[in-house]
Amino acid sequence: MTRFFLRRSAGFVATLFGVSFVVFWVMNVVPGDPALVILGIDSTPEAQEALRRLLGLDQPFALRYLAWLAGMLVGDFGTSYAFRVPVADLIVERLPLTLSLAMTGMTVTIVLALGLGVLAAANHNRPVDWSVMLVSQVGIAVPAFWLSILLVIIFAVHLRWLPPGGFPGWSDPLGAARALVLPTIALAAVQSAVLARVVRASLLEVARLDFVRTARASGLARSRILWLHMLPNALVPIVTIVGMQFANVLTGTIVIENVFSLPGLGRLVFQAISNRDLPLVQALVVLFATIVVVMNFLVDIAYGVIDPKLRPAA
Amino acid sequence: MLAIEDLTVAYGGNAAVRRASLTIAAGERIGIVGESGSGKSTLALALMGMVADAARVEGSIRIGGIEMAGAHEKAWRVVRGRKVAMIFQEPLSALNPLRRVGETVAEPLRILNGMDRNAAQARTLALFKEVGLPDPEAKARQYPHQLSGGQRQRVLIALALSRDPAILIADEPTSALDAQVGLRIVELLNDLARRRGMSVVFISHDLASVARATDRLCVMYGGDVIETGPTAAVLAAPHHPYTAGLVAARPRIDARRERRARMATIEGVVPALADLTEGCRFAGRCRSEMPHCAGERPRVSISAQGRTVCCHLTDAAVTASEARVFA
Repeated sequence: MTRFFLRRSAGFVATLFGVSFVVFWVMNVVPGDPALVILGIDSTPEAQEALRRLLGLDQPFALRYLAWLAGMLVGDFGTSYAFRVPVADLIVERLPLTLSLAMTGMTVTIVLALGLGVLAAANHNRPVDWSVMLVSQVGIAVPAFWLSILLVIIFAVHLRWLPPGGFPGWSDPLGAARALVLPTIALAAVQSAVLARVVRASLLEVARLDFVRTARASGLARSRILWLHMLPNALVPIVTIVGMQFANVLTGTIVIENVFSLPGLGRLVFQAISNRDLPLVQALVVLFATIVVVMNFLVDIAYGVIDPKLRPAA
Repeated sequence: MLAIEDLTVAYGGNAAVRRASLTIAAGERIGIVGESGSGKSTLALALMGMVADAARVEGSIRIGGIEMAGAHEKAWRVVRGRKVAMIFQEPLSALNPLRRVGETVAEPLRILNGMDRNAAQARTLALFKEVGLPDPEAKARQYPHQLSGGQRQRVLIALALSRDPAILIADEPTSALDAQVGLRIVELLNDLARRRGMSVVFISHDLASVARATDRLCVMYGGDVIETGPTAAVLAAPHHPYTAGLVAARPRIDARRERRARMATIEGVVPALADLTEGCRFAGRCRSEMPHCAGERPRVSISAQGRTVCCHLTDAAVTASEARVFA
């Protein structure tokens, strides 16, 4: 178990190094000068040069990367070029909204996918199965931003049930919850469509195994066998996909938060990239990578919980 | 206890079991033998109401006097495990890999017999003891992959016995096991049948274990029951040419003395489900085939000793007799 942890931690550190270096390098080679973006195209070359020196942009690439790394190690994420405040403050302020959105999105995805997937598998090759597959096919094909706009038109503009966008802040819990409903649906639709197919396919795979026949022969009800015997045995591929989807949901917030004008990390990433705000982009990318790596780690732990054969030797 | 009459199980237009009739008395041990594709496993699944949803079941299956052919899932669930229980060929895959075997056996007791956790646990341990599992407490906490093949099969037998069925169907229970382990499973089944007064349906293609495990024998070929009778009598003097071929093809140790002699075999293969004909299905492989065999299904002849044969040879021999009894 200790070796397992050590190996995973080493992989984690290597991943963060790789990700941060690639992003630093890409931001360095893509066109667009932070000083120019901040000061505007009417600014004088002298002022731009002065700002570049102030931000340390006149230093060589390798030196800047190492300086940034050194800062990271002591917990200094740097200061945003565009917002002129510490990057850490910007992130801490916006993290709760994005995490909430990701969590509700994933929860709805899992609940919907399990329900639909089990329903389809239980009615394999019957009209219910075909309908679920058709709906999920549509769900996969529809882009999230288009669905978002459609949801706003129906539920915000015509029915006036929910706000079309914006976020009232956490001090208004009901308003905050209402603001998250449509973004959550938009985020979960595609993911649950994909996951429902995985659930169905995985269950149909398990249905062929002999222990299902044994359970039926002992007189247990089909629904009980489906949920308590087959589903746990179908979980390994499902959990794998859920882990990958968590990353999709995080990146999905970039689009969704922009469509619904939600002040979260997704929107911040978008602004940071547009502004060539290197410290902010770096910190956000490292944060997203950390969340994904931790998620994958949890998935690996989950394998052992699901299947006694996959438990690392004690 | 169990009476099958004119039972047909068909997938699409193809009958995997064709108008089979068989009765099993209380406490009787009956063997069903036949090659793969003879319909023996389909027959067994039909007795559990577990043939595929798409299959068509015709005829009569009376279990404890109740007609079950065409019964709904709900009615079958009352029968399964309580009147008829079943164990399967592959004891590893037949157990849920994610559950401790103790939980697997206790579950139907809790859910279907309404026992509380402690009672179900105690009963599980008693069953493990009954089927000869060493150290039941420790075994109950193990997962299937931690047990040996023979132990897994004993767990499955314990599960099958848990709700005191009147009939136990064992579908090739020894095929996946080592010969020695299989032998001990056969002895266990014999023991249980005697102690509990339970009927056993022992399905196998291995005549040696069938000879040890059963009182009566039912030989199937291509979906037809072609011969039945007391096991010893059928094996000693088979009436149907197919049974005779099976008996002759038995591997025997004394065959080694005749150094050059090859093991006897039956020429050809079992016909595929889609190729089955109306006539005697052994026609084409039969050494005693007559011109009308392939086109016409033979009638069932009954002997005074309670043996039945479904063959044109026997049929021709007894045609004169009104009682349809052969010697």
